[in-house]
Amino acid sequence: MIHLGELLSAHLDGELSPAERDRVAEHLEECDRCRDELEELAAARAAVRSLPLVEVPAAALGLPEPVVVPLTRRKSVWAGMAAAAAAISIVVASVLAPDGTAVTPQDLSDPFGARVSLDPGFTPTKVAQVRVATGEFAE
Amino acid sequence: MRKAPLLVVMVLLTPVITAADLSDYLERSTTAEFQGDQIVTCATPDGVRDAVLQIVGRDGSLVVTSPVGDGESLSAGYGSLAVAGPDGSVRATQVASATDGPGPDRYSIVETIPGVYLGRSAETVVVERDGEARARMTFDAETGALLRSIVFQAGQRVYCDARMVSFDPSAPGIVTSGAEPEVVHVLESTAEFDPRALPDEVEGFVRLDQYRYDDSSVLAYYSDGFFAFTLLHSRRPVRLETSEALTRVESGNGFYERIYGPGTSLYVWESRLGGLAMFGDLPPDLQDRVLAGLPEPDQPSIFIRWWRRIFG
Repeated sequence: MIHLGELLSAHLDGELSPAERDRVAEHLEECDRCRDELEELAAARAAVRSLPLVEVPAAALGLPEPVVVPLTRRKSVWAGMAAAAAAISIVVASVLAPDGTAVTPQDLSDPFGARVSLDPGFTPTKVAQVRVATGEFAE
Repeated sequence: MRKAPLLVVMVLLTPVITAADLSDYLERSTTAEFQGDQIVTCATPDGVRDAVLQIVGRDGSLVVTSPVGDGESLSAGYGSLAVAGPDGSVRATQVASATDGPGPDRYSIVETIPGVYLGRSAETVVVERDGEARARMTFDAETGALLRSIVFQAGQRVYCDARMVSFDPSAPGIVTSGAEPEVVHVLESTAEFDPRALPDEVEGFVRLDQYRYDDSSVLAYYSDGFFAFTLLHSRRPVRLETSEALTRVESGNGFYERIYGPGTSLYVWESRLGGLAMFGDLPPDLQDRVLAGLPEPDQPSIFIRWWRRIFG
């Protein structure tokens, strides 16, 4: 009796013609050995397909490493420099710039009071007003 | 023959020309010795401002305290202003030099009214500038002290009324501690300033002196012999530090920030030439006219503001 042999693998892979499939089916009904061999071959294939996939490094296969080139839009050099300059200006200005010349009402009223005392229009009211204007004497 | 009666009539109708002019009254009042209580009430565009003060005139100086203040007293005279705190500490501002002012030549006495004030013989004079009544002042006949001063704004409307409610010329008290000032701020004269920001004259007010305030600022003093103000110019923006509420007044391309006190006003603004601040005792309409003659408010671009803040 001639057994199926390599035809079993082709049968499992669906590579047989319809005539060959009929002949394999008739043989398997009469041959216990070929049925057992078909079951073992099917079980082995199922076990192999259940294994996880492992990525083999290209170097292990003697292939060059791929070079990845991102697909991004190129910015203008001047725009980049302007943005950098603006950022630096903001930082420098915020760090170095004082908030102007700070004055209090007394900074202005006291010199006024001192200087007006030399004027012919110097009166008690002017002196009184100097300090009152700062709010220190205000009711 | 027909001119003689007419001449007599003209002589009779001519107002009595007083021997003393305004500068005589003011000079005498400065050297008067007295003590008294004064009430100041001012009707400003931002509301009423008033105060109660105790004043002592002695040796040509004036000492001012307030019964409702925090215990500070002021002593002013001969180019110096000293502030004595309740703890006895004293800080002073002194001018190193000063130019003689023009005197109140723009002001003329148009009426002299003898009378009685606080039971004392007194003289009241009405003062005009450029034909407009500006003040009505009552002087004590015996000492020459200024007993009451009414300042008018445009249209002879009362701006401020400062009046003595008690007056005693017999015993001017000593209210200063006599302590040496712990801090003395000397105003040194400088010739380095921007005449565009600090003009020689504005509305009859003459720039008499200019003093260095800091590395980027100059303080100028203006007077017309009667009213006066100081004008601060800085190449940088001027920022007013105060807890008082500021009034914002739109003008030109920018705005003024303003505070009124009893008889004084303080303006701060930014112009094309930098920051400016004005403090003085001008009536509101004179303030407006002076401000119109100074650099107007302007808001420079953000880059110019940065530049000024960094480089002055």
